[in-house]
Amino acid sequence: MRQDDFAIDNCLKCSVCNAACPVFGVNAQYPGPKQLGPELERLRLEGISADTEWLEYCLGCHRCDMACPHGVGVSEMIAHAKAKHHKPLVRGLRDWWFARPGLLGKLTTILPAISNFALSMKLARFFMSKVMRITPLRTFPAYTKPNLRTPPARTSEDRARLLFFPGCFIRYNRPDLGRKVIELLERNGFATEVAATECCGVPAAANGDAAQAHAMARANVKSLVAGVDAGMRVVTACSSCGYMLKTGFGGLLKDDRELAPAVQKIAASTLDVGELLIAQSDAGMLNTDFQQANMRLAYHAPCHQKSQGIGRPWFHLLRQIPGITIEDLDAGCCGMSGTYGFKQEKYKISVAIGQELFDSINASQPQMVATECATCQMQIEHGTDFKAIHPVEIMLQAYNGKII
Amino acid sequence: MKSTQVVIIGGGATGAGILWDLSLRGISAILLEQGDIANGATGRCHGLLHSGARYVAKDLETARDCLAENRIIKTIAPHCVEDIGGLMVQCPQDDPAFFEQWWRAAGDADIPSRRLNAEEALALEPNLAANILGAFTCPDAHVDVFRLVLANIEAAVGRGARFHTYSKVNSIQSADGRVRGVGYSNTLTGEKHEIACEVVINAAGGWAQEAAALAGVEVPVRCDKGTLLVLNHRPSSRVINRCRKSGDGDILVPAGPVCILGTSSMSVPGPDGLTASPEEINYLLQLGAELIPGVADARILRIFCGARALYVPAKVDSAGGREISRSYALFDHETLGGVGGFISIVGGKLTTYRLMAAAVCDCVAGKLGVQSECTTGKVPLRPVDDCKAHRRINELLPLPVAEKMERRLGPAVTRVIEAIDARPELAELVCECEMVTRAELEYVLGEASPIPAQTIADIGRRTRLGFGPCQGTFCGYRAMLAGFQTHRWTASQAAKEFSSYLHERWKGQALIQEGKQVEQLDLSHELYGADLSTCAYSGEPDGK
Ligand SMILES: Cc1cc2nc3c(=O)[nH]c(=O)nc-3n(C[C@H](O)[C@H](O)[C@H](O)COP(=O)(O)OP(=O)(O)OC[C@H]3O[C@@H](n4cnc5c(N)ncnc54)[C@H](O)[C@@H]3O)c2cc1C
Ligand code: SF4
Ligand code: SF4
Repeated sequence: MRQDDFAIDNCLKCSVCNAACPVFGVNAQYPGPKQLGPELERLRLEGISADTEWLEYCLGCHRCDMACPHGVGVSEMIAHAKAKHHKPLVRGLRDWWFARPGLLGKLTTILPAISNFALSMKLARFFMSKVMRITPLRTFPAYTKPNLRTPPARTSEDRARLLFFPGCFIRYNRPDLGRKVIELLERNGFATEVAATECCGVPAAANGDAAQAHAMARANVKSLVAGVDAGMRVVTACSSCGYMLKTGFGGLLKDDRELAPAVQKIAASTLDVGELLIAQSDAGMLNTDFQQANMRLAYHAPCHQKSQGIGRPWFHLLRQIPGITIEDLDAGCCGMSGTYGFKQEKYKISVAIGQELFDSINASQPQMVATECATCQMQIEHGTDFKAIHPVEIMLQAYNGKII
Repeated sequence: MKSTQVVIIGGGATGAGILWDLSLRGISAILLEQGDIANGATGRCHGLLHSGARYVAKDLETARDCLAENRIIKTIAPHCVEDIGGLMVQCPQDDPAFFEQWWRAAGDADIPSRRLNAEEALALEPNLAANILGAFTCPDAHVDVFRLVLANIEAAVGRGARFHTYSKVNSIQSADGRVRGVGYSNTLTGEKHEIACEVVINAAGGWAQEAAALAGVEVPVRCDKGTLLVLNHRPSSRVINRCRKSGDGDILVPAGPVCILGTSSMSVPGPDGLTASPEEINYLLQLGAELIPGVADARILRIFCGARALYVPAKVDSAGGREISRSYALFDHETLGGVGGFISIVGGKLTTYRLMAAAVCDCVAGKLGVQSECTTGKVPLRPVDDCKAHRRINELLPLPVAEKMERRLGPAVTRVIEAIDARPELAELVCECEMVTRAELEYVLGEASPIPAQTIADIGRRTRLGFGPCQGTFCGYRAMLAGFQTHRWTASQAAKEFSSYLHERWKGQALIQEGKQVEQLDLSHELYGADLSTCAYSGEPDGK
């Protein structure tokens, strides 16, 4: 325990965090953030074995932190305890894989066709469900060739240069979305370079794999720092990556004196694509060359977007497109939390948490749901009959006049 | 009229130790305590199981006593001890000559110790001030005072001894120059009782003079106040002493989930009505921060004072309290020309309670003509936990809850298992900070427990309920409801009990000047009304 952890003293036991916790809301047996965080932390310091399987059930959504009126930093305490939590072999093995989406990405992309076929095969799914305890009720996102590259400069004019942090989902599953991000930024006068980075480390942290999360954080910081030093800003299109770069690295590497200054610089230079564009819009510099659209959208704000504390930039950006009506659903957490929703023992809770969101989408009857987070999209498409896509795609379509 | 061979006045560590020792020797005894267990200095001390390190440079004999007792208590009552070890920290503000003097003396007293340089010490305790020069290790430990007293009494009761809480001795009968019995009254109900006996032992700590006066004799003691601050968590994992001539505010003792900082020393007229001044508190905090800088910002949960009963040998003047020897004194008033069958034991330390008890019991045995030897150094205070119960409780309750409860209850955990098996809803947590279930609460309130709790504060001394950050705001209320629902208290008794409990908890927080606990106290005031008007209860709903 170190001095800067004295935040544990801030808890007044008011239970506001419990009221905000999605898991607590659907499962009364879950001990809740107050207990898993500050309460058990005192006992952990005392040397009581306060390990509990419930630690695995925390989504890492940060809603408790946002709700706490006393700055306790509840979810970070839980994440630390999760990292020390002991899992049985099979769950441990599964979570080891889940902590490394990049690894699976690299492997499957060597021969994407075959591995996607295997992932969809009945036998493989049976194995995953019975042995690996991965729910057969969901489909894995398909892997593809990781062919996202920095595009050649299109114009000779001197443009502001950005460093794009794609994260593993865009790199391995949706490089086309990455190209759309680059094109959108290009249309707004930016030149974008794709950073040579790894997975941001959120899946590792969420699966309690502290060593892997640290390794990812260090590798990413090292590869980003030169660009940042050269004055480039870093953009993210995935809300979890954005959270990690802004806050997560700081927590993971707080004892690393050598990297700490770089971590701070990166945190201060990182922007969500939406955050960057809304700032352009506020400055009157957004490219508003939109074609007339005709579409009703519903917007879901991912938890890690909320915890960045940047408002809802995409909601306000999409509203500016003529002919788009958009409703902010404001229906809590989707319950997917990355790999969480894939885990057999957590599937029920995951879907139960999403129910409020599903209901509000069904009530809203949009043509499509817009949300930045890939796993929120998966959950929405799993729980409703509506399609969910990244706002970047909608905005780009609006420039191209492709929105009906 | 009840009768027994021996009556003991005072249910602190000393009295409890005497009761256990007598029961092992087959001498019948009744212990009378005016409050609840550990009502005096025992319940208001650091709970440092001294290794002698603190005294070794000044008083080799006391240090040796402490070291020997430290080892014994660790073996006979491991469930009461957190064997965390300690550091004697060398601060740059202090006299370096003393460090060497200490090191030599520790060698003379055979206190196992290692010399650490600053880097090694900081690696063990990263929150220590960065400017420390080094540290010596020592086998200090924390002893849970309430557990220790309970363990002694429970073991004695198991062998037929009797113990009454809330029983104040207010007369000692004698005839022909010998004590014949005592009169006492129940401080909750006012009922009066008498007991006939052959020997009366005055183990009344700070009240020793008052108790002696009942027998018409005097004992030379003086009360010395010490103030302690309870911090919300443990900034260190070992006992932290400052390596210098004993001074104020230089010990930090991790005690369960909290940590106790203190203490000052100040002569006072008596043990009652002690309070701490703001200057004293600031002074202690400042001293604490010299050892561990984070202490300046740490959350204080409560502040309390205790009175040491210091033995004043005839020739010592009344200078500073610490110049008086800390060792104990036993008075056999018969040989001193006073009343026969009356013995006083004063001074000493919590750490040496067993040794003091042994001396008293040797004297009693002599008087009663009982051939016996003291065996308290060998007989464990509690039988080892039963594996079956251990497995079962871990099935019924989550890990930290089960572990905490087992530490507290030992074999009695089977009672709680039975209760939860019969009524699973009793697994509910009543006190979330200290992990107290409803089942455990009902057990300590019920007649099945050896010394049933009478008040909510009593529940706290048995379970630590209300000892955490909320200081009883949430759990105290739940305890009141439990007392009412189990018919322990009527509705009006329960409301009255909660009101006086909360006031007592508030009192302990009232002196805290700033920080989170002030907000916590405000929350408590908001919930119940600063005058407790929301709890005031009128009318009796016919037991419903
Ligand atoms: C601030 C402080 C810190 C200390 N820290 C430590 C430490 O860290 N380590 C250590 O070893 N020692 C420590 N001590 C010393 C230690 O607390 C005492 O030496 C020890 O607890 C004394 O126990 P006791 O049973 O003799 O007295 P007490 O605990 O005072 O017990 C006397 C009991 O007698 C009862 N009583 C009095 N009159 C009557 C009556 N008429 N009828 C019935 N009952 C009566 C009282 O209610 C009381 O419960 C500390 C003392 C203080 C004040
Ligand atoms: S962590 Fe914050 S919100 Fe939760 S109980 Fe403590 S003070 Fe309240
Ligand atoms: S991070 Fe989210 S799921 Fe975890 S305890 Fe906090 S609110 Fe609950």
